[in-house]
Amino acid sequence: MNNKLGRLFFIQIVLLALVLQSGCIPDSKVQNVVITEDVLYISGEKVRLTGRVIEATGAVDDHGFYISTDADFTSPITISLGPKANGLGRFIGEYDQLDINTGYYYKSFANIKGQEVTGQIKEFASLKPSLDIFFPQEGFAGTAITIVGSNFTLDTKVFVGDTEVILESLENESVITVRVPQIVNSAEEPIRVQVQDTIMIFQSPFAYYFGKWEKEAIFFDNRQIYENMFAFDNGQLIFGMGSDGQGNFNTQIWGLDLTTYTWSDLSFPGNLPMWSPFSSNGYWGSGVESRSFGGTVLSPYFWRYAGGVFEQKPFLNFRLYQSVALHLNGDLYVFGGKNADETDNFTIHRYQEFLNVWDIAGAAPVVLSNAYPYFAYNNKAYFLLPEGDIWQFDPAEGWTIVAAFPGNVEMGGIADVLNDKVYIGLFENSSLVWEWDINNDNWVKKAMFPGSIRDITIAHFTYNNKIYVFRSKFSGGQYEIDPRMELWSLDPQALK
Amino acid sequence: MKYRNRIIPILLVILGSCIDPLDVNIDREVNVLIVEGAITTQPGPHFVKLTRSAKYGSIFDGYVRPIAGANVAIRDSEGKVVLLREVADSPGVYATSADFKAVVGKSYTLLISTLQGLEYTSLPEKVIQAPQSLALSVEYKKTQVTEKEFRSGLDVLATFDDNPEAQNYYMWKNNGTYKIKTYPEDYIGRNSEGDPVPQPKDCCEFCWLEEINGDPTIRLLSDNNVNGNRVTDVAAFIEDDAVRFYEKYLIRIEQHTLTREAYQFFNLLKEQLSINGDIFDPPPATLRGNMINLTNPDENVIGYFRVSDVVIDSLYLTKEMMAEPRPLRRINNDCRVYKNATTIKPSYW
Repeated sequence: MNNKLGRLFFIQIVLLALVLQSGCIPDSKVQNVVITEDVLYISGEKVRLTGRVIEATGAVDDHGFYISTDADFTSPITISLGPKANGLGRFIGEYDQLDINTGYYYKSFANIKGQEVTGQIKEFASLKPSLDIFFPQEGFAGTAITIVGSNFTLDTKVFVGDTEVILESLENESVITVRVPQIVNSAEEPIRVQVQDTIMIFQSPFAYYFGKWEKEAIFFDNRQIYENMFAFDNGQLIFGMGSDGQGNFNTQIWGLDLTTYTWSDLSFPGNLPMWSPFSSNGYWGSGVESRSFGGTVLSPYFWRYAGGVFEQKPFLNFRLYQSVALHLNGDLYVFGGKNADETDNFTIHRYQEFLNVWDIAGAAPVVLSNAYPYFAYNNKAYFLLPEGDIWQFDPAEGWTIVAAFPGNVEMGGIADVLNDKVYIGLFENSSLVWEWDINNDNWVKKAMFPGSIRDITIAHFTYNNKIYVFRSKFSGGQYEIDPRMELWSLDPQALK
Repeated sequence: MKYRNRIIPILLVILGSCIDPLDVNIDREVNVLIVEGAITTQPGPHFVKLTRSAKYGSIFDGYVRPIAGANVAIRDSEGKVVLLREVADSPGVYATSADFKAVVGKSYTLLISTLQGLEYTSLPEKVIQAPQSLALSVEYKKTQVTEKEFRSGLDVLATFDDNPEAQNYYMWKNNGTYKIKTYPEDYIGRNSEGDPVPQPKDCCEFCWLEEINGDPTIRLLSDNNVNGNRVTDVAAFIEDDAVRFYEKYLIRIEQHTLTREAYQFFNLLKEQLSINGDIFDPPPATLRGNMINLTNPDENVIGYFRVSDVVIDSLYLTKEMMAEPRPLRRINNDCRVYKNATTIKPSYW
């Protein structure tokens, strides 16, 4: 009896254990389950999708996504990620050849033990490209410009005008760098961006800095002059006095006929030095006559050159050097400069030709010197000061600050007026010239000066719609292979 | 008896066969990337901080290292990308430009590429519009801490009209400004022997202090049970610490909207932070944010890239609002010894 009971008990216990064990046996209903999750990233051509293997009855031989433009997935794009080493879990697939601005369906898949299971179908739309800005919006040929937008594809094309340019970089599908090509036909060219079959154009074109520099003539020997007088009269540049850069004063004056490009010694009858005199429209005067330990002696001489004739005018009743001369309303005004004791001069001296007298026409509120650019326009004098302010002197109204120079001011620059535009720049060690539309206060850069930036401008003038600069060599020309002074012209409106 | 002797081994064999070994892989949970970042509809700069926990069990245990030199960008749902720049002198902290702000309705994704070539992305987070009707009020609150001690201060209540057409989630942040008075002339220093001696200071007795998150509690709200209603909830508690209420306390409350996922994350974080060791604590759970390693999607990345629409309101709190204001603490020192103290009176004061 006991044996029977014991056997029964044993059988019951074993059955109970089998029942309990059945809870541990994998459920025969376990299936392979994969779900389609979110779009992590979408652009014009690239999509990054997530999916997840929830259940798998065996090794995952392949997994990934199907992408299709139709919900039936008739000819889908397959993103195959291969075997999934860790079986269950999240996976990410990426595809980068979408058509822009297009609707797609996608679903995840997994191949498990020869059986393919797919997740639910979801949708996304690829994005359309757009343009935001490009910068800089003006510059020289060869300038690198940055184009900012969105959803640029790898095959994006950029055109400057009709010229396709090479993409130097494309970052984050949103920032393109290209270089603008040489000017073709116009100083302003539209920037066009083509993404697949979508063409976009910026509203503002790229504005080239243009103009054409040409070397016009070379001085006939190796002499240099500095701190000289100069004038342009009847197609002839005249220049001279000053010094030779070797510690010697120069008392000669030469001419260059711009119709024939012939140089000549004009046989100036004066024989006393005038270093850094004032000069304007063929008038020049004063400057340093001698310098010694005993002090500086300034010249009282005042000359005029017109029609091929030198005329000595009455001695000046003032003495200055490094002063500025300009003609306003037919009168010659002399501003700034230094006195013999090197103090600054603020008195404005005026010479009225028809009366042949000098008088005083007020005082300048700032230090003025011929080391910085100055010019006359509409019978008003303009002075660019080292700190960048442009002062205007109106004989009737006095002094006002009228503009701010947009660049850095150094010594030795030029300022010349041509067709209501002022060309300012070419400072020492700079090749830059700005065009100032004085009536609209608009500044644009012109083509870079191609000559040596170490050269020093000793004369500048306008002629035949060009700006001319005559330049000496640095430090007497001792470091130059060809030390001859050079005459250059800038045609500010020439495209190339 | 003889059957019993047979049963036990059989049971052990049968039952033992269903125990799976616990696969503990410590390395999987070390060197974890930690992302703390948020952008809002307020003007920037907005910041993203990237750190990585040091190796588990090393001498740097518990130490986090900044992830410097990473490429960090934020991309919106239209494909526009904003690059973040690493803040000078703050390695691992990346900032948007000051003019960047999120736009309601757009989704944003944080993209990170580390110097080691690891790439991370957030799940897209959408900016949910915040109700514009935020109004602040206060309630005095006094809580007994021990038999003799109590905490008191002002609950700052935010009242707003919840949007009935959507499920909404909110987070409140607070910052404040207050004026303090100290007594620098009564400063007691120490001489070379270390004995206290009067060392009166010439300056300064009045300062203004800025405090970010004066109430550091994570304040969250789901409109699950109040959808579409006018809602009032505690947005901050400003404790009367016997210093803050010398004159008045300017509280600025920012009401941030959250996505459901962000709410769940911060709610879980709040629960984890509230664990103090008793049996009623919620069980510890892995905090998984919305950041994903692109090459190893199962990597645990801690943190959340949050985007929010923000509405701000402010209110002056005064001791007259409190039933039992604490007597002010006397501080015998220069008021500038306080962190973020300035003697320059704010323009709005």
